[in-house]
Amino acid sequence: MSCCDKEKLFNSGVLVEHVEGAVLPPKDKWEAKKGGYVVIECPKRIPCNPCFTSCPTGAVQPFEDINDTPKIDYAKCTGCGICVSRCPGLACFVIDLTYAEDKAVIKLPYELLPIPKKGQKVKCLNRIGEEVAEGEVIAVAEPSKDKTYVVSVVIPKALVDDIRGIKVTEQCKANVICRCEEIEIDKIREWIKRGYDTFDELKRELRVGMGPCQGRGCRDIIMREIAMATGQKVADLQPGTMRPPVKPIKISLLAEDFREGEHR
Amino acid sequence: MTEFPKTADVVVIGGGGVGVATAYYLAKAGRKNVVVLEKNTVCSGSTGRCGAGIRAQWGLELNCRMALACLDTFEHLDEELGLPTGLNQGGYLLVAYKEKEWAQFQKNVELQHSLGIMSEAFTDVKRAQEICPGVAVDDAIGFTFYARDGHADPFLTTFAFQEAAKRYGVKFCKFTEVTGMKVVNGQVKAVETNRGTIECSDVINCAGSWAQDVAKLAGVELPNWAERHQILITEPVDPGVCPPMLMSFSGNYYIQQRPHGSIIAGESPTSDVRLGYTSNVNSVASIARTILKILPRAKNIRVVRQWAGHYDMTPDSAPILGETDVKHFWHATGFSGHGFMLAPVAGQIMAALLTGGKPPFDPTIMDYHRFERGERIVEPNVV
Repeated sequence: MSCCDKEKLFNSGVLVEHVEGAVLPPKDKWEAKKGGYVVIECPKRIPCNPCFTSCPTGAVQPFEDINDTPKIDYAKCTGCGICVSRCPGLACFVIDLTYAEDKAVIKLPYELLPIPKKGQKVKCLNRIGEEVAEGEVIAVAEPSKDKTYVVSVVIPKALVDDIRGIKVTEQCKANVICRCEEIEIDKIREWIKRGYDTFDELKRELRVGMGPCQGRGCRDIIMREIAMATGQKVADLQPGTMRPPVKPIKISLLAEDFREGEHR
Repeated sequence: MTEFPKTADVVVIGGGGVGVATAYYLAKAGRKNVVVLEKNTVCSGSTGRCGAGIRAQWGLELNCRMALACLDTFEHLDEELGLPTGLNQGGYLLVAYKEKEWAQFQKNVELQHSLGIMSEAFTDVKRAQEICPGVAVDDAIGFTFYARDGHADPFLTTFAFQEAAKRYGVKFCKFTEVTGMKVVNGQVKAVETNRGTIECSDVINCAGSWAQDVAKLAGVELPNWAERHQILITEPVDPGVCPPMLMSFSGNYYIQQRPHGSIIAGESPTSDVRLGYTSNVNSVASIARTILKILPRAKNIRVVRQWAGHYDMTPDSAPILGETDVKHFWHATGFSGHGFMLAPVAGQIMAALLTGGKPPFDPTIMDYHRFERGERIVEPNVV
């Protein structure tokens, strides 16, 4: 792992070492198991159990307490990948080590557009998002028909404990950051360069954060862009103004709230 | 952040519509080394919070003429500045609910016609509904409409002025608060800020709601005060919900739909007069209730934001323009809620005053001593 600050990484959600709830399957069985075994990386106690409820073979053991981290009975795991599509935290993977001498297959969850196609080359990312290899997509499925795709990618066997994501580079021309107003990253960078290096100035010029989501989707990304361009820490930047009512409310509903004679 | 200048020819205090336009026209007219000081970011004050309307329907000749000149300017501003200003001329539909108001409207239209503002006065609700489909104004007694009125985007306009001013060499210093002013022998010499002192030849106070405080730093007393107004904006919807700026003085509302699809609506405060940007739910509820009454079909459109802004008021609701008793210390303030729409003309007047040119309007009537002399510029057509 290239970043040395383990604690900081762990606190930001990155798995830094195998601990309870995030273990690799036993090596000897795993190397021989066609179809692979599930690898769940869920080391923190949270109230969540769809890996257990969705597992058709009972490989994910029953939870005594819903906050427990998952435990796996590898004798029952078929590597079907249902849990990969059901885990809300995108923390389940299936890794098959039998694909070839020096290649493995990882089935991973994917929820972004464009959806990769069979045969497509994609960039493989490690747990902190760095590109570490190139992989080939050999299958794309949507087991739960809920727009969470399970993508099977051929990766170097040496990196089975590193690769946990992919970046689909082809076809992806526009990189839209503010989805309400459809503002692309290039536009944001152009105006930061012109000196509009606060969130509020960018909001005024480009309307980022003015749509129905009120910046919930784009604010963090834009703050990081400003931080990178100005060499400041995100924590030191002005966060930009948040305005009521935060969530869009119908005019008719608001009107009911009027109180005659009260301060306005 | 840009390097902080030690000297300047002209220092403009305030990065709102008036300040930025003034800086642009000054630099265009040949003043070198113009510096704009803004205590927050450009467009963070009244301009960025305003209702964005531009109208020529006024009741006083001076205001009609100035507003008409602004319309002329706005109609060619995209080309001149090289960036869009978001101008949208859907007209202003003014609604009168009171006899006295309607009588005044008719007088105004007469005056407007004599000045080439071909506004229309009518009493037929059907005509109003042609202009604004679905408008519920059966209780109104008269209307006036002028198709050239409309609105522009205050952010885009001010930033377009800023970018064009930068091309003329104007420097913008944000997060720069004016803390003092050096006056020697009745003449301003330097501006002190939280980032250092700037020696300069001229200073223009375009500080809007804070103009009174800035003036005090040079020993000049202004009668201005800040009045808090609240406003809301909805999610974008298809065009046609409210094509004109729908406005009523007696009804206490203005409603308009932006080209982008969002509907902006606001009201004037009933008694709440103070400086501050807090907004409250009873205000947004009150505005929502007004929209529900006037544009019932908008009932399911959702409000995404509300906020407050200031009207930089003067005792007669007319601006203060010109030099003060302190030599080379100028004012362009007190626009009383119309700073954004009058910014181009204010900038042109100030540029002419500071370069020895002929101003498009004689600003002597807008001198700040008029209040002491008991003179008033009384405009009947204001919210």
